[in-house]
Amino acid sequence: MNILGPDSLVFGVDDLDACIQFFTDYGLTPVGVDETGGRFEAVDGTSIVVAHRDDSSLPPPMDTGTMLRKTIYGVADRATLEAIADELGRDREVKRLADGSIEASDDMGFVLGFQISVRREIEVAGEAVNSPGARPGRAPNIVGASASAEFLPLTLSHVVYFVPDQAKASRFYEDRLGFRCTDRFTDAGTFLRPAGTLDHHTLFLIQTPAFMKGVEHFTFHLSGPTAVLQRGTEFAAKGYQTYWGPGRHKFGSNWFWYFNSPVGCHVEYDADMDLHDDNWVAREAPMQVDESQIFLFQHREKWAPGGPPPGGETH
Amino acid sequence: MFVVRHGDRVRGWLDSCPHVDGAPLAWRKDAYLNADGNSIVCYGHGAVFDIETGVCTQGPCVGQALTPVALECDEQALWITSPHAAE
Repeated sequence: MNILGPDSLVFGVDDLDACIQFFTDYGLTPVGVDETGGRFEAVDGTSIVVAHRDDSSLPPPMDTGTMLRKTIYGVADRATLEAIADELGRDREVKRLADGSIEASDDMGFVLGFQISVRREIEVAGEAVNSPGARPGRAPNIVGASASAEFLPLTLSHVVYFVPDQAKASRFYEDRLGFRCTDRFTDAGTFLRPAGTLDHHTLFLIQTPAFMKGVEHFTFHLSGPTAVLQRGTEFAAKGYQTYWGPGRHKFGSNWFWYFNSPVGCHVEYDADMDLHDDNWVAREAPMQVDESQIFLFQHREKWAPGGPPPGGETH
Repeated sequence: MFVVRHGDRVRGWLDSCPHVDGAPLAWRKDAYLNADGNSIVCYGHGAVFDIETGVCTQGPCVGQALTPVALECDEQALWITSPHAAE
């Protein structure tokens, strides 16, 4: 199935004002946002949609209290849409919505949408690195670091679900929708890549008890590690609460920085994820601290030599 | 730690969710409550806590509770009387 990746995540939230402030500060562009919520877009048109949890236009909530109501996948063409409708229609209800998209649930009860992808082709310079022995990434006199650089979230990269049976949940995406397993944590989690992208994963499923079913986090790709560190630093300086990071993952290689958020899951900035094709053989590792990251740093207030460093922050 | 005023009571809690030890709760500085201001929320995974008892009523740590930090309040200040004072 020529599924490109997640186009949009839809949340029914408790505190709309908080979410509007959060996603605006995170760097998404509000589109048609008012006191009932609205859409927050990345550069390529992928988005987060928020509405109040009582909004009757939303799909029904899960019984676990997660605020995620729907994951909308973008597909390449109408033929893919019809193929998905046929495949899923074999054993579950497939709704056809007025906008031409279809809606069905996965095997864990997550509501999925499928639409002709709204993502736009974008051309954005990636991080350009000068390194001895390699061709310079920047011409002479072109400056790399800039305090005033603005790094925007470029595209919705991936979402991570907590599920009560990650093996069964993965089989749905692999067998019914043609996702590939890129890597896995033994009996704990599966990284999944749909056929329409080379990104290491657009979906990661983590095994948890049933009462935790929901979202761990989602993230938008930025242009490189400097973007993650600089945007993350600016975001933290506004008072936003770091959860984990910044660091670099082992599986996927992506830089990460996770924050708490008013949609009740973590929201991440990530960058520089590995690309894989069908020649890749999935790796497997136990879910352990050393397998989750190669290095981890802690954001701190700036200082410079000339006096003692500031004391560690207490909480 | 964080401090919540609810009605005429002021209560202190360690800023550590029982779901993930050490995980801070707020989504932004001082933003620890739900929209109505009558529950504490952990904005890591959405756990909801009773504002008086600190017990988790919904989410990944149902039944577990926030750790209280004993406080005294007089006209001048809030005083931390708990062994957690140094944290």
